[in-house]
Amino acid sequence: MSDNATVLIVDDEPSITDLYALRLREEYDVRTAYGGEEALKQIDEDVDVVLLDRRMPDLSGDEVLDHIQERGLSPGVAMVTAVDPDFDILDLGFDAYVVKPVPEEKLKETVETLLRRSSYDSKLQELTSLMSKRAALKAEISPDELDDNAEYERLGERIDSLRAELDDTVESLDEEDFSAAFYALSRGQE
Amino acid sequence: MTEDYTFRGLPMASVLPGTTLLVSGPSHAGTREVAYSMLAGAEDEGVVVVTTNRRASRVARNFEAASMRLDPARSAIVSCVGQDDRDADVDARLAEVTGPGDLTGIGMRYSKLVEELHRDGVERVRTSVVSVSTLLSFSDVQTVSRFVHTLVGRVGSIDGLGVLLIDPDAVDERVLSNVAQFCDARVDVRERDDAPEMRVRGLPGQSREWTAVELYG
Repeated sequence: MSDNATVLIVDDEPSITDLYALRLREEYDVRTAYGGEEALKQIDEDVDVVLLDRRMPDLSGDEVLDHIQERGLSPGVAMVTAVDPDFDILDLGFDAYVVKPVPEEKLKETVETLLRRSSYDSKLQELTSLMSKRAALKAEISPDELDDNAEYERLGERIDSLRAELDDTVESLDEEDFSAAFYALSRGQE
Repeated sequence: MTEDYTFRGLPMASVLPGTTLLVSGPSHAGTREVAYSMLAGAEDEGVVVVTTNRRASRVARNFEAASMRLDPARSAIVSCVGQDDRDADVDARLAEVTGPGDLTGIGMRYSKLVEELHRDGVERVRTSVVSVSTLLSFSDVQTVSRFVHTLVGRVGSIDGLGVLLIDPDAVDERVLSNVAQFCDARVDVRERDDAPEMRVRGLPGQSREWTAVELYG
């Protein structure tokens, strides 16, 4: 049991995969996959961040990403590429790219950035959904009854604490984080 | 530390940088005019307006009516009315998105324009969305709420001023209260004797009483 975030590292070169794992192991729960197929077996809702090699012989990074999205999973994804891509990365469905070889600092910074963004997105989604629930309850139940309604009270407490957490998170967001947050609005929608 | 944002000709006290206000009132009551008046600041302040259902040229006329001058050096418009606005002849930087349902596009264009203004030395920026009601008729409440939260956060991070317009007659009261909770304060506008009145709720140092507004006086 641990509260650490989970990072899945995918690269068909085991030496690279293991090196990244070594660098991240202290702070995160790390899973490794030496190929695209294996990555699909390792990924589940517990994975917060995926470091995904773009060029792999069995399944490419792009194909792995498609599978991840088809399964309704939404980890933060950093594509690891051999060359600096000259395209708008956000349009391709991943959140960051890093160019090989990835220095240790850059590796850690990338994971942190993706965690910060996905934490903001998921908390905000939870908050707006709870607020809608609370509003619906309020419409159904008379004000007197609301005071004694345990569910309503719990909702209120959770909403307050989420809002406080989000206020803190917002202060740590930079320009690119905000762009990513706006981008995330179109994800998960039809 | 930047100075407070002040409001010319409106019965309200200045507000701290980073504040976002939700301006709520029926369209016939002069609410839009009140919102535009709140965008009038010092000569060196910038302004970015997201127009959801009116063309950039109408925005320009709203500015003129509020005795403000658009200037490409410090004014920008994000237009959601589609390609019609591509060649709009207005004195502002112009960005367009495919429609009011494209919240990602609006957010990204907005962010980019703010970055450009900052890069060009415009540090203080007033941001407006006219109006949130339109956004709500194109996307579900939760997505619009997320958009508003992120926009309010962005305005806070640049020490800007946010002015979001909403028509309470066009949206459910529950929806209005959800959106309002993400803003720092609410400015209500109503019509009395053919003239608008306003009050500010949720901020210290502001009059909570209904006060007559003399528009563009």
